[in-house]
Amino acid sequence: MIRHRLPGIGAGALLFVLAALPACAQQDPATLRSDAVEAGLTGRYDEALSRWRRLATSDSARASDRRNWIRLLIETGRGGEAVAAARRLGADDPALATVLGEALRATGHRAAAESAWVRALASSADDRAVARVNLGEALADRGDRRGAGEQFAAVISSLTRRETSPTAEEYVALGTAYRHLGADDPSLFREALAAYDRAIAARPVTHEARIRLGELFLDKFNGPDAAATFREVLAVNPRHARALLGKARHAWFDGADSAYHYTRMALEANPSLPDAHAFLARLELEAERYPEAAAEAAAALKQNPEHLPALAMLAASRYLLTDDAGYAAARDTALRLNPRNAEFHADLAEAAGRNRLYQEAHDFADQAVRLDPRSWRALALRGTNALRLGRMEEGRRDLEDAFRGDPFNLWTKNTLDLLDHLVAWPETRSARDRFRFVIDSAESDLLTPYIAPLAEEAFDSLAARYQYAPPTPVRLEIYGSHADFSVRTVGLAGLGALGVSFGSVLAMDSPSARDRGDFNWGSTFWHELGHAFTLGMSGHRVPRWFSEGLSVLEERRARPAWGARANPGFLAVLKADRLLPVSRMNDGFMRPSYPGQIIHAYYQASLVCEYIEDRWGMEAIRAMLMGYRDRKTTPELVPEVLGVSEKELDDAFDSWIKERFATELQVVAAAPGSESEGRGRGRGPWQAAGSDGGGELQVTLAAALARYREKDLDGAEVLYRRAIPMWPEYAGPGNAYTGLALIHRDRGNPAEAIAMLSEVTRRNEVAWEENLLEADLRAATGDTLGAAAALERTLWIRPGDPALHARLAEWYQTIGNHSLAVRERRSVLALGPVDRADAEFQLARALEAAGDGVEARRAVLRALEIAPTFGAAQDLLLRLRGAGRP
Amino acid sequence: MIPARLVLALLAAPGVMAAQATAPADGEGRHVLVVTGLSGEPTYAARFQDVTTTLLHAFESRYRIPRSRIRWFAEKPDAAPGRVTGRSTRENVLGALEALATEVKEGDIVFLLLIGHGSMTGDEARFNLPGPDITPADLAARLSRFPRQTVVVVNAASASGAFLQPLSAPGRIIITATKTGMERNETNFVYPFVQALADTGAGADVDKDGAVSLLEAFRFAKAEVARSFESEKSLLTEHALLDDDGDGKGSEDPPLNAVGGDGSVARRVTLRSAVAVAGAESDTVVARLVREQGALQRQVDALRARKESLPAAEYEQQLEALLLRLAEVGAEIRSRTGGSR
Repeated sequence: MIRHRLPGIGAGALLFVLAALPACAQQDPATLRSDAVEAGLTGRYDEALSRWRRLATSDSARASDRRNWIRLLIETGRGGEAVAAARRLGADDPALATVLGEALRATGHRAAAESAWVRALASSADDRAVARVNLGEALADRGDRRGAGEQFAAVISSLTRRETSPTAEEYVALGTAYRHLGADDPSLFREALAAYDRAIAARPVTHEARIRLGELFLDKFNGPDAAATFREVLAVNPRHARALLGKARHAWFDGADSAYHYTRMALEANPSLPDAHAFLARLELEAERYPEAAAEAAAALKQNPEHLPALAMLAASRYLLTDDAGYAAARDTALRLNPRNAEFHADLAEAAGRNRLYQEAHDFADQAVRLDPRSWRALALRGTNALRLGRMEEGRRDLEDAFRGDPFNLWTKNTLDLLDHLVAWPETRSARDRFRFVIDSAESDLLTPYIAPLAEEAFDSLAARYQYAPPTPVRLEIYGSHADFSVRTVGLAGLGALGVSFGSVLAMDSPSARDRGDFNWGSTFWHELGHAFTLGMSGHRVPRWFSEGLSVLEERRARPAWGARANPGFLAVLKADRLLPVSRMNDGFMRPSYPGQIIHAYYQASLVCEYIEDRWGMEAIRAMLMGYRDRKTTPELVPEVLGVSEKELDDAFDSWIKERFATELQVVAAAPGSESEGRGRGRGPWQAAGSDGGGELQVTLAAALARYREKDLDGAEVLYRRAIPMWPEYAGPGNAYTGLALIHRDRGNPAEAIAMLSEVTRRNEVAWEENLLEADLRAATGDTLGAAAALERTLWIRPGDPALHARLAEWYQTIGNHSLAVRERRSVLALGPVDRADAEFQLARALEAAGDGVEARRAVLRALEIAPTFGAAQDLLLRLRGAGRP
Repeated sequence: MIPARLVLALLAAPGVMAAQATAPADGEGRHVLVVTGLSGEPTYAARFQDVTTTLLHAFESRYRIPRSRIRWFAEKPDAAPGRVTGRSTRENVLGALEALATEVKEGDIVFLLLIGHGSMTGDEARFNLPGPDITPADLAARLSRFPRQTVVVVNAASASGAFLQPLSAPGRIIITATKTGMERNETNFVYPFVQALADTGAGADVDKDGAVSLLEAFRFAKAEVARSFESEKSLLTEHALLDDDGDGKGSEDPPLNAVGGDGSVARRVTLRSAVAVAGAESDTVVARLVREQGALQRQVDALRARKESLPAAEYEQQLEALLLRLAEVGAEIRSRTGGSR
């Protein structure tokens, strides 16, 4: 959004104005007024209220003094007092009718508020434009869009045709009128901006203009300007509740965890701010804390029983708590207040989508669109959820319609841009047709031959374990650009995840989208497919921690090296007794309290699932998933399925995990969990000096490495051997096995080096260098099969090096596995080699060896088309002459 | 356009080359001028020297270009005693071109390689030398002295793209490491380019004719540069261009089988000497086969040029017939020459 800001307007200018005000209160009305303004703007509310009250109740009171007092009462959450004060000062005074209406609105008396504004409009009060805008907003809130539009148009007409300049208050009203009409004519949003800017320039006595401006920026997806605007307010008044709420909404917009923190701050500043309670309810819903969300919504409704966003959050909470009666009651109340309340259903759609109920989200959005076909937000939500359900054309149509109506919606724009690319990507099928692969055009030929058989294997394996099959075909999208993957998932760039599962629609980063060693794309796929099973089996009602825990566990079950493992940071937190109990596991994912907690939560959740499976069997896991499908909660399912209370499970798991890691806990130092785990799954905290989780093992490994670097192989070996019993499973960065392997390699003992490397490569899914070295050493010692296996593992880390594929092809040819040799030769070609003629020729050779003369002849002809005099290829062509001919 | 005889003399296909009665003997017809400019810091100086040494060694040993036909002007002549002709001042470089113009014969190849840093000030591009720099205008004036030769200019410096248009002319192959004068970052193009020319195992000889054409070297270097940037997840900051049709507009991706347009000359030009096939002159059967091979290759070229306009099945059928016959001819030549072809 392009912002046209008037020159010289900003926090600096405002501060200058304030600085010019007298430092201490005087008794004369003018000084008292100045002091009241300054105190109100800077958040010294008690002082400000006291001064405004004195002014408002004095004989020489101006109408504006009385209005300012009442508005400050409203701003500080004293709605009841505001109503009482307005009535006391003059229940029938037209000059106070507008502000009385505002007080009534704040306390949920909408009809009375509207009457007050109508009364103001019928009078000669000087704030009729404000009354008219308020009335317009009230009409809009109860679904009278036409009536609202007429009021807004009238405000614009009266204020823009008037000879005298509007006041600051009137400019705010003008901006608000433009903003509402902008829903039908987006160009009017710029007029709204200009009006708010003029209001700010007119030196208002409140921050209302800036707050409205910031909210407009947020609504129009302009995060940076919104943040700057709220910052300007908070620079003057750090306790301004609505500015703090704006900051929270901006943080939410950016996906930052601080949204919760700022909302709490807003409520500390004004405990009865309904918008803040409603927003907190939204955050609680997204954290899968449904009872807490319901409580926040109720807190908002206590202040204002007609608060529509709070009613939506209450309904969403009840819906997610499977409280059908509670949901219906909240819905009925909301629809009684506004029968055409598309936003209500859009809020429900958003809440459902955030809780992985994509079909329900789509259906709620659909209801919203039916109520109001011009609800661009609802259209965008319906489209987004259609895409998550794999209904690509339908989703695209909705998003295009939504973007035509709201061209400021960054999420919609990003997604449409992505779809423009996606449409050109080839779609391929797996052998048994249970998968559709939609992979970045540049990588489809390379990745499909690996992922297709793995997908079928994973499906069979998971179907056997869960005795369930999700809807097929499963659609897998693989993105060569992490930003594209992020847009597919959340509409914006910047998502930290590697993959996502919407059920039977999966999306993930391609290995080229990340740095080498960041992740293993095979295990990532297996993980996401695991979600397709657990989501499908539970009707998408499995809590996040259980679904993630099972997916990580499935990785480990699939391949020895795959999946998360204990790292020093995790053990340090365990030792410090800072791991979350099972009963609060979800918080580790949804509301992490330290930077690395979410990584720890993945691993811990997998251990909980492993513990449950080991102790109660896979049937218990299945029973819990079925229980979630039947809308039961974890507190209900733990005793029902496992036969223990949640507390007993917490305690039993705590004992189990401490026993499991008893040896390792002796050699790490306790840490409270402040470390960052790095972006990728292969990186450990010990890469950074001074990080948490050190202790005796870290010291020993560091000393061993120093010896090795000094060429003191014997000294290094002693230390590395000492380190192994401390933590035999440790195969992360700087591990003892790799150190010993290098020592053996340097000494010319390949067999011992291979043995040590195997200890790493069977435990670490991203051990790139170790696998390469193992492949070299095995090949050099004649173990071509083992060498090929090691190189094969590297392909799940980074398959983009043609030389590795060529090498692997040679090894497969040597051991007579011609079909894999052909696959590898095709991979070389998929990587676009400079020497394409040779690559085609080598493919032809492999195909010939595999007995596929027809394809071999085609390949050699392609080679000769590029290089007609290529002697070796000519010989092969002559040999293959007639192959495939009738 | 390149003079017709030269094209024939420089045809890359070995069979065709062997058939040319006028093909230059070892060492004849090729003149090399390498200029390593201001390095700025020792790291660059060492890199420039290494890559030049590698190239010149390959020219002498593999390409059999006599040292007398190789001139190397360096920032510090004493860095490679005995190899460097002189300091790489503007005066020396332009003087060498003047002198060379009096030595060359019709049909010779002049290969000028600039390694170092370039710059762009205002509208004027420069190749940075000790003392005054060289500008495109300087070079254009000297290169006009080679009207009957094939002139190959490779400016591997930053901002070299600005040299392309002023130097472009019929009979010239102009290669620049960057697309414009505004691409001013350090360039990497020269290293894989030299690798392509110097290392037979590098894989640059994609048409398998036993020689790396300038087009093959260009494409190899482009691909390697792109791969290198991609592996470091960096934004590509150099986009090399090749122009050989004299239109002053370089191509980023001239096709390997170019027929007309950029690439169609460079694909046929190699600095390799023509080595007569042992016994070919005395074996009339081989001579006939070689002529047939040449004719078939030209038919393949012509067919490929029509690929888009033919039905796929018809194209494949015709291509296969030609390639099969080429394979038979090639096998026969190899059998008669002891597999040397």
